[in-house]
Amino acid sequence: MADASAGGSLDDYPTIDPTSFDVVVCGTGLPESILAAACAAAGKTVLHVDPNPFYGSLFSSIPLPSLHSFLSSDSSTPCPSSSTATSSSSAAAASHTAVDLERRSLYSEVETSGTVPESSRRFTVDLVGPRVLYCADEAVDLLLRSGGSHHVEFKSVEGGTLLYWDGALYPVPDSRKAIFKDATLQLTEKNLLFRFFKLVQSHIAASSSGDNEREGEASGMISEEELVLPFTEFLEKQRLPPKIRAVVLYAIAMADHDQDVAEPCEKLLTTRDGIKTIALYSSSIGRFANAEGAFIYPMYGHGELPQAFCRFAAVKAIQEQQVAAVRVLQLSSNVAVCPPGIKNICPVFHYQGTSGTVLSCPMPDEDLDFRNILESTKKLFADTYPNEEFLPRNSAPKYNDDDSDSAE
Amino acid sequence: MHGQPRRPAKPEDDAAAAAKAAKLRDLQVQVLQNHHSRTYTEEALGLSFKLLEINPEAYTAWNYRKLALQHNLRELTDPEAIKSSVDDELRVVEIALRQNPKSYGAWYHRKWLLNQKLTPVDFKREFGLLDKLLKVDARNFHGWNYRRFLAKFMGVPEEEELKYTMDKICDNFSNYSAWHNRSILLSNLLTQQRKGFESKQKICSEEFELVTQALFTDPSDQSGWFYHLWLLAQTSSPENPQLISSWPCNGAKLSLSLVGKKDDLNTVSSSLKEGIVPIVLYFNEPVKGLSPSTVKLNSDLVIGNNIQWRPLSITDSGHSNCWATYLEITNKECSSSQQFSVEVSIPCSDDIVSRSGSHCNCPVHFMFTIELGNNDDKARNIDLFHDPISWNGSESVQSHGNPSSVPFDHLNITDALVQEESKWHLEALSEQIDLFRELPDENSKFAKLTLARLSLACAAIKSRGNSPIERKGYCEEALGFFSDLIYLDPSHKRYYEDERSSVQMDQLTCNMATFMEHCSDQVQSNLSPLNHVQLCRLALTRIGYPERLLWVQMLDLSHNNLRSVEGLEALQQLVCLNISNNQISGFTSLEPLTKIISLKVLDLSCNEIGAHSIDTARYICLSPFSHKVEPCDAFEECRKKNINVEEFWDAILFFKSVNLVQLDVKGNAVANKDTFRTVVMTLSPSLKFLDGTCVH
Repeated sequence: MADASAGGSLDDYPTIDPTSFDVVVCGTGLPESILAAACAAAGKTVLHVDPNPFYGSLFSSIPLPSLHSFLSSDSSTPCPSSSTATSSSSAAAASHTAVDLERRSLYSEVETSGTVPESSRRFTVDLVGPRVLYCADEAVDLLLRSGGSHHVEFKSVEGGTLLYWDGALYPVPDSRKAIFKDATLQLTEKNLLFRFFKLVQSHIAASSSGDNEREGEASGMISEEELVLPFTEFLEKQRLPPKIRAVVLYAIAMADHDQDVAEPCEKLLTTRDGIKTIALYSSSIGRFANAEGAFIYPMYGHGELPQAFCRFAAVKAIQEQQVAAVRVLQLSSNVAVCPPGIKNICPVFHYQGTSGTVLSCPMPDEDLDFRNILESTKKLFADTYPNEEFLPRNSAPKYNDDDSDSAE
Repeated sequence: MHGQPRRPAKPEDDAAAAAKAAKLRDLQVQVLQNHHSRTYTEEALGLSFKLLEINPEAYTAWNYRKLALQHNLRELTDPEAIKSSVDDELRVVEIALRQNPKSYGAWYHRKWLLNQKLTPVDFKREFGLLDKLLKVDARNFHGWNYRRFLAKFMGVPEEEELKYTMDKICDNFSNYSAWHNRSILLSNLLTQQRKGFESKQKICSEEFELVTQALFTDPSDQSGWFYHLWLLAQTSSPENPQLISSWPCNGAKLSLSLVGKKDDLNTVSSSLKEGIVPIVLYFNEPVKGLSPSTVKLNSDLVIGNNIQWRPLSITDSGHSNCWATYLEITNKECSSSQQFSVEVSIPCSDDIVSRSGSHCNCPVHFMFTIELGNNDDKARNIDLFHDPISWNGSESVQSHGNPSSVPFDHLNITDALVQEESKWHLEALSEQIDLFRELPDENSKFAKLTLARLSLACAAIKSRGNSPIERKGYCEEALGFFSDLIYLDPSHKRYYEDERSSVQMDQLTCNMATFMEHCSDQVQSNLSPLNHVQLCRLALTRIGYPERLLWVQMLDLSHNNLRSVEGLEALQQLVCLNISNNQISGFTSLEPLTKIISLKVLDLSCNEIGAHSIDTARYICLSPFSHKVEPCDAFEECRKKNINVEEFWDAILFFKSVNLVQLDVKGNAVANKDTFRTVVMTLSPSLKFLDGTCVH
């Protein structure tokens, strides 16, 4: 469908063999990488290209000294690929359609000031902003499932979550153990909080066992009427005092908007969503023996995540040579996954055929985790290949040191 | 490790199990052979290792390895070689423990090895292994036992171990072993008065604070409540055993005449067992060590030198709340009335010790007098039980006697024992009560039970401090909690009923005014008036506070729900007992009555004796009645009369040990059997009335 062989002025560039692919993915951001990996796992031939000399696109982690140059290039210079593509299309207009791939800029306005501090090398800036991964997150599952976890090192978010309440910071009591040890909670508050956890747990257990027939408290389920209530209202019904409500809402369910507004609006967390997040949170705690809290963070920034999926896609292709071929192409790089012999390829695509469509991947959102991004990526895949499974469980390539249930 | 459901075995497991069994049998035979032939070669040892690897419970294999090690070490002198064989042995234990971390044999083998002191113990390694083990299962009590062993072996300060329990509790407070070890360590530290552990009050307050954190976080977790129970015991009961009651009481005047009337308010007639005066001492907790050297008796009577103190308990532990001795009055030849005094004194003694090892540190002294009556021959020939005793209580309660004549609480020992620490105890307990009232789980059975126990502890302190009204309040609250619990937690209904009965008995007997309503003198023909107590239709399921009934001679407990009569053994004055219309289910539950030497009249009618094919009391009661069955004359005698001894063994044991004059058993399933009648008649030669008819 897509033909990367170029004519005319593109003779300078070596051709890629094979010359036609099921999918061409441009950019190596997290959604693009996951998509490429999913397509490769589904046995599609994939061409994965990126105009940038680094992995991750808008999801990369940039060393602090390079931040300035990144920002200025991102905002000022137009994307080189689009201009080249336009010029080359005239030369081979007959057999190819040139697709203008214009990258959207992440920032509408950038202003930098001051100098970079001395030890700046030790800092990395995550372009997607501060985000955390729940240990039981789907993204983590995907990494484990795809074997991508072998390429990322994680660090447990230590010290737990803190809550700012009444002018002071408190550690969030988020487990039975933490509630027991907490020195700031009243005895009755401890009781109410743990009882609430138990209610949620029994609800999750009852709903996951498919026991939907029995309604009401007997089955440990929270009723349907309560599930559609705003979460904050539900918490109030559980007689939780304000401070405990804040703990649940902002530190565990990770609501990023003020939930105590009078008007109902879409930012208001429903009980169903709130409980879903708590379920995720509680299954996160203790999932990995070496992760203390519920959250983990890639040791060298979020830029590691897309790379992990890219590598998976590449490994997949090497393992299943007949069906899939994945190339990760970079303009200047010494990254090992780049197939030998391919250097300095300008990302120009001559788009051929009629059945193909151009879809765009999700941009980074404002959330504190990757759940929504992952959701839209999955949807994208399902729209493209409705009959294929998204990164099936047994798709992971075999590694000798298979310790896939550890977060190290 | 805990709370994991057991999966049903699959058919393919059966084949595997059969193969394993065959292999095990094979190994077992070989190991036993080597054991018998004393073959201790490397190959033979390898076989025993293989066996233990699969089945660490093979005790003989462990024993064999011990012998082999001792045998092989005899030839070794090189310390390196010794060390390597000890290390091998340690490794075998580790591998066995991997198979079953709760293998008694394997743990014992390791302790044995260390105790041999063949090589210096690598404590770091041992503790490291333990840490690993307790990480996998923090509640493995074998691990905790071994830790205590190691700590003692190495001399780890108990303060350090206390910190360790704290760490484990912080990890997960649902850990019985950790709480338990904590209670042991704290007890030791407090007894030794180690630095930082001088004040029991301070430590207990801190521990209450700690455990309530756990209790409030998850009231449904039992482990914390158990620890709380231990703390409650530390806070409510006096540290040392105390004498709380006696018979005769201080200042009592006994008259040993066969017939006669009371002429003095404090006179108690002890007319029936001529010449024998029991002395009963009742302590607040089970003690042992009473003997003529710890209890001094002084009297101008000739009482003989072979005084023996016997525990009036049906358990075999040697500890008992209640102790008795029997004075045989030998100087009877006097013709006129004479008074003799008897002094009893218990000095501070290290020999009278409680189960926890604390000793009696409160000296007691009391005195009573015995009046020897004018025993003329005429009186001697009177048949005391010419007519059956009637239990027509309603008539007799007020018919005779001056209520104040009942010797009530003459032994004012308790008052003297109000300790200074009671005040703190009461404060701590009240604080706990207030706290648990705030617990939002209204229906937590643990919370309710704890509240009930706390209230009772307060009531007990109040009774020592003589504040009857406050005391009554606490008791009533406790009664309320028990009623709730019976409804809330029906599977433990009987326990709550027993507790409730005990409180009810306390309520009835704790103060003069209420007790008097149930007391009277009963006059029966030919007998001197008997001290009579009537506690009928109160739904009692067990006897509480027997120490307040020591003087009772006639006790009516009919129309209750009694399932046990434990406690009545202390009533050494008891002549007539009515426990008709109760729920006594067998003679095993009547064993305490065999300790009452004065018992003559027993009404057992309308109980459940013989109604149940299985005598559950035999398993539930602590009574070793059933464990003491040994060939005796009574069995032989019954066999001669063609009585099925197996069927009536409990009845035989009971009737051979009591000496009744009047018995009622009608309304029990057992009474319908003719053989049973034969048993009774055979073993009770003195019986005159059986079920209302004269038999002798």
